[in-house]
Amino acid sequence: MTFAQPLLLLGLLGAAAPIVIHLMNLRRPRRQPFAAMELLERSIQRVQRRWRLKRILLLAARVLLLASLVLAAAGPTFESLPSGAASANAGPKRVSIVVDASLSMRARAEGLSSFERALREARNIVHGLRPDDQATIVVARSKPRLLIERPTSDREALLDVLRTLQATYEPSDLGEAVTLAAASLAELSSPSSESAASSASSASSASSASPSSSLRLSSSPSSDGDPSSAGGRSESGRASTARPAQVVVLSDFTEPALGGPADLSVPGRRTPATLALVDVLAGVELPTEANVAITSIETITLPARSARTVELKARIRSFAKSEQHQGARGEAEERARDAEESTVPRPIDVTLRQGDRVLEATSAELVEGTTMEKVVHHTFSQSGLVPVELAIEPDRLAEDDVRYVVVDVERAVRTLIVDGAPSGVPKEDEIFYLDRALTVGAPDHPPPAVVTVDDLSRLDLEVFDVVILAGVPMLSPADAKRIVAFVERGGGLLVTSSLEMDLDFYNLELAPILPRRLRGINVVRSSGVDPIASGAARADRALSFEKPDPGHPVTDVFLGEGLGGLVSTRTYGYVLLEPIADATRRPMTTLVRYAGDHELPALVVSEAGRGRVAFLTTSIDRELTDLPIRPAFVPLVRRLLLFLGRALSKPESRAFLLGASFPIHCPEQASLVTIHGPAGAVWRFEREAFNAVGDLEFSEASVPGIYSVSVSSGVSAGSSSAPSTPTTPNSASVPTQEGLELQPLLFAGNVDPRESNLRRMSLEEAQAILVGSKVDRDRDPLNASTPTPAILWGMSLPGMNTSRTVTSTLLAIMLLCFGLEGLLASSSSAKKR
Amino acid sequence: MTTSVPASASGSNDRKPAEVDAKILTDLGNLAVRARFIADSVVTGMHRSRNKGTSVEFAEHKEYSPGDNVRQLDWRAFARFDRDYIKQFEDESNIRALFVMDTSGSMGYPADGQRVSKLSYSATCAAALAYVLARQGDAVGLATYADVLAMRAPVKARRGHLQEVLDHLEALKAGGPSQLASALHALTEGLPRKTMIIVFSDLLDGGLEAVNAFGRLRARKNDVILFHVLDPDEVDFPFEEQTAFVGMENDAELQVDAREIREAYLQEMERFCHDVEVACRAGRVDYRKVRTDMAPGRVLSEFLAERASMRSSVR
Repeated sequence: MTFAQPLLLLGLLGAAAPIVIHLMNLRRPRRQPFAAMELLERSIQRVQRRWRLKRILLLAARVLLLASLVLAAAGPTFESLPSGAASANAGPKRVSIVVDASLSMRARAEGLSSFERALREARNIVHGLRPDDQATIVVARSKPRLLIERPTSDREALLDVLRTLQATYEPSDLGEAVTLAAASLAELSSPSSESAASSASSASSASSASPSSSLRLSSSPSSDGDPSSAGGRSESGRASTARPAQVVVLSDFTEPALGGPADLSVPGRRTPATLALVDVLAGVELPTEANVAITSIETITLPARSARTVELKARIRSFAKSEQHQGARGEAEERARDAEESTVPRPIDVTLRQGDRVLEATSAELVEGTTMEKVVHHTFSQSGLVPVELAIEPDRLAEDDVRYVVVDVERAVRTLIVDGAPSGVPKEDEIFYLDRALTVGAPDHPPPAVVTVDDLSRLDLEVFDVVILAGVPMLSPADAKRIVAFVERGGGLLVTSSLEMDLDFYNLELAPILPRRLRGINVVRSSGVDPIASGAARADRALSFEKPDPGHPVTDVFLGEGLGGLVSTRTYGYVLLEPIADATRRPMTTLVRYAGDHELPALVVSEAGRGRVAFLTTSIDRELTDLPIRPAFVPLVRRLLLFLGRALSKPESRAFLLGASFPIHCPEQASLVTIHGPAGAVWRFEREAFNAVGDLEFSEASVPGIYSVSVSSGVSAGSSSAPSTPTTPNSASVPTQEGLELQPLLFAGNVDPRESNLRRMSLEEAQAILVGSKVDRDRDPLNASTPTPAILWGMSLPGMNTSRTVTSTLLAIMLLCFGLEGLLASSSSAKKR
Repeated sequence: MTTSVPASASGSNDRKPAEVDAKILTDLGNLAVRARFIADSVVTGMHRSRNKGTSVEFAEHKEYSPGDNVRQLDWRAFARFDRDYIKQFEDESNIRALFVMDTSGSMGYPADGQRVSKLSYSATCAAALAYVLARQGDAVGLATYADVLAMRAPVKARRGHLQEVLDHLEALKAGGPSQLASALHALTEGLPRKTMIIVFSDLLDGGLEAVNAFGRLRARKNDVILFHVLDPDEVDFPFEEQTAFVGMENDAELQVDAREIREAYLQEMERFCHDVEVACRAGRVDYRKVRTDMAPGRVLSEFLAERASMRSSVR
């Protein structure tokens, strides 16, 4: 017999309290002179025998009551044997304890989480091990881990491992964990002894041949390697090295936790390990409310309302109502009750927080067993990446009631337009359409500054994010150098074409930043003629735009309904670019092409230094194209400027699920990636940890929250030969001794929503999934002869198999003693009255 | 011989007897004072006996009727009024009352001084009764017994004898075993017939056998009155805890949980009192159960009232 809390046994001394009190009363009675001694003596003679019996019973009841209380609190466990499994306990055995550490095990009931119950059961098993028994521990999580390499008899080592074990936020795959646990039970014995044990085993039992039948109920005891049951005593000497192998699974057996079938074969043995399933929630009264969780959040910017207004669309789901096994209840009854209650919506508080600050507080009404979308709008005060969390009121599994999001709030771009052909007639001005496209309907964006070429030299370019050279024929060499330096420091540049452009100037002065050399200007018609009014003949020779390639944030918006507004554009003149890049230039991305055999580029972008450059091969006014009057003009220009100003990033997932690996795209120059996780966790990855594509597969995240990724380059600050590539839009470089440390990326790690499904499976179903045997699902649970057992075992489980029985027996004794004591005491008090 | 009782005790007086607690009475002063206080409260406004007898003391005239003793004709009244009148005289009350006090150890209960003991209570009642009787000119005497009978004061009616009786009563001390049966036997030998014998005892040691000895006294035409004096502790048994009960007449000690024994004790006590009462009734002994928490005046007034009604019914 062992105890989970042996120190509590000191409380047994308290059981002597009634005896001590009784003896103290006997020793120090009050002396009372009395006259009617004869009557008193006669009274005593009358009741003396009855007294003595009553006193002894009362004393015994009180002592037993206290002793039972102390024993029950100490958690006694008997190593008694289940029927049929006694023979398996005759010799030493090997046990691998699989502790389910998935997120669902964090769910609490009656003050304890399922994981704490599992640890308690695991400790009971360890305490119940015999000196010759060996055990190991496997933790079931997204990637199961073997915590002790080889089965050991060292109880303290096993208990130490259990003390440090923590529940994770990940899903688990019990099938995989059981496979690992079975493999960990490999024998180190010699092949001869193993074969002897195997032959003895096969000779005595024909039923232990296949892995699928390796899980045995108590009525069919295991004979796997068991000396006492495997061919008699004469075999025991040879078979002693082949210990019976057993895998014990401690879990809540929720549906997502089971995963696939397990392989119970033990390396080096012909017979598989037996499997025992222990439901840690057996006998626990679970709440009737369904688990509610936020399963996903989608963020959408709403430029129509405000540039910084973000819509968060959260999916809130009420999972299957019943967490109890269905065997004992009856599905029909449950279904009827669910149908009755499912129409009643339940109010739920929804809160959007940024740290400790509540940004929005609202509520939603959720019907049991359904999923709803709750939309929360918020206008952020700052731009950039903003970590927020959306939470609902916590329930039994509080970890899935909060979800972290990184919101990419649109940044305002400060734009400078250099007007290449100013005109007193507004409509004839080069920037007439451009200026209106950037100004009208964009209250959150500062209006662009407009200067002529002559005034450019008087302006400080550093106060702008993007400079637009709108049909500028040429600049002064000094201004050209300032433009180049501006771009290389991280600024954005948009160059639009015109018939007056001095291509040689551009090829000479702006060569370091232009995507390609400019070859010439191809004009379909002569300038000065209104292309719209020029007639159908010339319209036939005009070029239209091709459908843009997907994958770029600037043009992705035109892949849907907006495509017509783009491809209907007619262009009558354009600048030709060199088709082949020289060695000094960066790769160019063509966002828009002209339709035709040559697929000439219409809009290209490239990186230049730390900045971005876009080149529109046609005009920004209606000189060479009718683009300014097409529906695509305004969104194209706005998105292009946001892209150049690094305020528009390619939509990418800024959230990942815990337990899964998460790819982090690293720039070529990155030499060190530092990841800061919640609760101060820090990971550092050198270049060697990157994969072939140059990405870092990060799978160490274990706690939900915001993860910050910093990328450092190995070059010195200010080095222009190998500038680091920023990893975030509008990132401000922070010079350090090692090089350039860039503004960190933010990612949100969230729990897997599958784990929120706390609907549990019966042990028979779990058995069927794990060992692959069939379960008769048509069986009427109401007519089941026995309720679902708490434990399915293949052989005896040391320490834990009768712990509940002992505790319940003690509780029954306590109740009996309590009743007896009350009866005796009340009879005394009644007589007194 | 006829006996007389105070008229007030017969119910003709409306004044209630003082129901003063025995403990308060004890604090009043010596026994004589207490006795007088009680007696006065009981017999206040008492007249002398209205029973007309052959005493020398003239009472009144009564018109002659046939059958009257002609010797009692008042010739002088005849001479003056020419009518026949009979002279009537006050009747004499010639009661011989002997108080027999149990002074065994058990009568000393309780000995804590907080409450009045049974002996003290008995002495107070006896003194008050003696005072009433002596004031009527009846003869009173006192005998005590514990292990042996002791005649403390013979039955006399002379002036000053009452004080002697009261002195003896006040000097009584409880102690020793109780031998009521042998004491009654001894008393029977030397006592004149037709004596009122008033016994104060708790009868707790062999009392039931002693009651049977009352029969001999009754056979000698004695009027026997038994005041069965019990303390409330003996009747109610209010003890709660583990207690070592120590005998007051010997060294016996009984250690017992009082709560557990209470039920059985109360039954024993009830049975004992019932047996004593039945035995007394059988022996025509006037039995009176008295608790020491009863006011002595009330006890005496009830006693006297019942005696008066008994007397009137006899007439």
